[in-house]
Amino acid sequence: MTHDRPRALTLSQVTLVNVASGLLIIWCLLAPELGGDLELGRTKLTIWATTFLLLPALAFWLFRTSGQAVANLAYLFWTGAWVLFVLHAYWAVFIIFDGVADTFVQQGTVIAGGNFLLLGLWTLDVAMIWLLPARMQSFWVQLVVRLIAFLIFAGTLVVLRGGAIQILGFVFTGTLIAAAFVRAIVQVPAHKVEAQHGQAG
Amino acid sequence: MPVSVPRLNYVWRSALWVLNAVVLVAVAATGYLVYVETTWATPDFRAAPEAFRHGTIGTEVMPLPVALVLPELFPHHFQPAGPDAGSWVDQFGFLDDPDNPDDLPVGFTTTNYRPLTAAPSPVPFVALTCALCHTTEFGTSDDATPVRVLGPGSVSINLFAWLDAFQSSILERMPAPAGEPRENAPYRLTVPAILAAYEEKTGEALSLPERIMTGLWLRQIRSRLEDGIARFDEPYGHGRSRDEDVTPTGPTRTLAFRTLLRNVMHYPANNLPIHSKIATIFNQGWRERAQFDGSVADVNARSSLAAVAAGATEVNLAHPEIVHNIREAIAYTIDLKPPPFEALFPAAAPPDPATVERGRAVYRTYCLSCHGDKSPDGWEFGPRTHDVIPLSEIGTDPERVMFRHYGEMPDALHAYFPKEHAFAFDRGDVFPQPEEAGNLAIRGYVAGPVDGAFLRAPYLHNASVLTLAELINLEPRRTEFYRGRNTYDTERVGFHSPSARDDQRYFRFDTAAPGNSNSGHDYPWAIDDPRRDPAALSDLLAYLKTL
Repeated sequence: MTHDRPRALTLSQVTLVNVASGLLIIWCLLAPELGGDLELGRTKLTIWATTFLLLPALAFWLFRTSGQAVANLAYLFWTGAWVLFVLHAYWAVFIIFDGVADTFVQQGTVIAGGNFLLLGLWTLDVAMIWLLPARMQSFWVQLVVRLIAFLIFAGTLVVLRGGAIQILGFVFTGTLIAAAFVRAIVQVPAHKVEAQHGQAG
Repeated sequence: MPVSVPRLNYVWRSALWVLNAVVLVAVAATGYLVYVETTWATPDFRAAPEAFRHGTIGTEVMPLPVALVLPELFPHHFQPAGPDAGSWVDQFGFLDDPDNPDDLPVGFTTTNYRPLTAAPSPVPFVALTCALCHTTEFGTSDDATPVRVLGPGSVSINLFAWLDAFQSSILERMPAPAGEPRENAPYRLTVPAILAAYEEKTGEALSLPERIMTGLWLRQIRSRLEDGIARFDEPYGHGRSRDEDVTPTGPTRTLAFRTLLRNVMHYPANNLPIHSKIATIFNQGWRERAQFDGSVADVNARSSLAAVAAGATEVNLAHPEIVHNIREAIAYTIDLKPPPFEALFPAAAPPDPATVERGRAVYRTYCLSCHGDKSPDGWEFGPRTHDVIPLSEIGTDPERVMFRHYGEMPDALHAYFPKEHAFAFDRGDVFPQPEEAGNLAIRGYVAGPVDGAFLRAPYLHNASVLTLAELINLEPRRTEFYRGRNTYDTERVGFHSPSARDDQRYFRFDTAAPGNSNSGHDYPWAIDDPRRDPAALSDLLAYLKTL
């Protein structure tokens, strides 16, 4: 078992992510109605919500080999975060800016290029996870896409932003770095695991 | 009795399915709401004159249903002189607009944009337009049919008094039971009260989204006003809004930059006697620097900052329709011409050509240097036209340019609009420049063209001189007079004042009050100057009518 795609999803797992994602979508779209710039508010809140879902998605992915339930949650949260990120991209590109070309003008090539690259890779990864069989999943593709997502979110939230979302950025970055350390400490080579299983048998 | 695990699982799974379904339906409903929102407001890109008259400049005030019923629900605020002294429109100096589909006065329009953000709204909001402040009427007597002119600063509206009445209505509470603290009493203005009064007045009911938006607005505006009480104190209302001790700005004047001090720089800006009359905006293309102190050069910044002072924000000033309205209104005023004196007042005796010619010579000797003169091409500028004449020289009331934070304000205004904003402007276009922020010696009032001089009454930046005859010291300047809906004096070129207040002229203007001084600008001669030549001044007055 590779744990590189979701399988045997339970209703509880789906419900957990569906409810979390749904409530975040509703929050992103309705909370700005209460004041401030409506569309800019939606754009900002969708990136907050994406971060909320991306954090468990990446953390669970680091530990996906510990069990299929963890792997399933990793892929479900990853997919939920992708939905929020698509919403964010739509609001940013087509409502705040005047399309793709204007986004590059307003944000600059580096930032806009990085965001569009992430959107493309993330979309491809989600499609692969849900549409391709296990034998066609690539650990390296998943690793690279998640690493890019982590670096762009951590860099944007911590370096480019200030205020409350910067605090969220520190929490996001710190938690995932800590999770990666724990993952490094607890991991063992696969042949040892197999040997342990053999002795136990 | 044992628990059936299969049944428990069945219930648990059913609950999860229901939960998923509820969330999906809620997300779909939210998406539908977001879609429907896009249908609430359709931008209206008007031509220049219409943008000036009917285009919002980001100054949405209240929902239309509220605007229609508020004066009837709170007559003690909106008819301070009593029901027999006229409608709220009359009592606050607004002008009736027979063409307005909602029976609102000149300068009121409706949009489907929410205040401050221009987010779409299902209920129309009442917004203010350029025409509110820059349209006025001149009548030679209370019985005469007045003539309406676009361009001069209004000579009758009392905007701050009206705002006091509006705010008082929002914050008014029912009487508190004996022994109970006042803040426990419920507010008088509620959504059900608005709905009932609106239905009674129009026979129409509001839809559910309109009710929700009206309630949302009421909650937000009340919260904002409540939060402001600690900084700005409570509004007065109860028939006091127009009194000079409550609203010392009075008719036809604003507190220049007070809103900017409060909203942009977050200072209390209380008790600042920086009264400034509403500007006349003819031929804006001739003016290198606007505002009476010459503090704004950029032609777009003149209007965008005026909109901010009237309540717009950098958020709604980015809305395409509002950007368009302001730019078109600017275009309208670039070469807006004043009507000739004789066209406005055909019954007045026409000036004698020989007198006018002699007056022209006086004008060119004593006035041209600063104000320039009319020419066949339009306007001939004098060597000091567009210069700021320092207080030490001009000698007029200093409050407008000596208030605290004056020097630091341009930096804050410049930073207010992000650099990619439609109304961003260069720091060099607002004054004083950073290196002169603390230099009091350069502060003063700008010398601009005086085209349409007879329509610029009352005179000086603080409207403290009622007539041109007094401004040029042909006659002594009155130290006290009454303002409101004053009638026009074609002889002295300016306004009549009764000797005591009446329903129409209710505001006592005391030139000894802070910010109201009528001293200075003693040209050609001071009233007590032994060289003063009354005959030459009469000639000058005749010529000034022709500008």
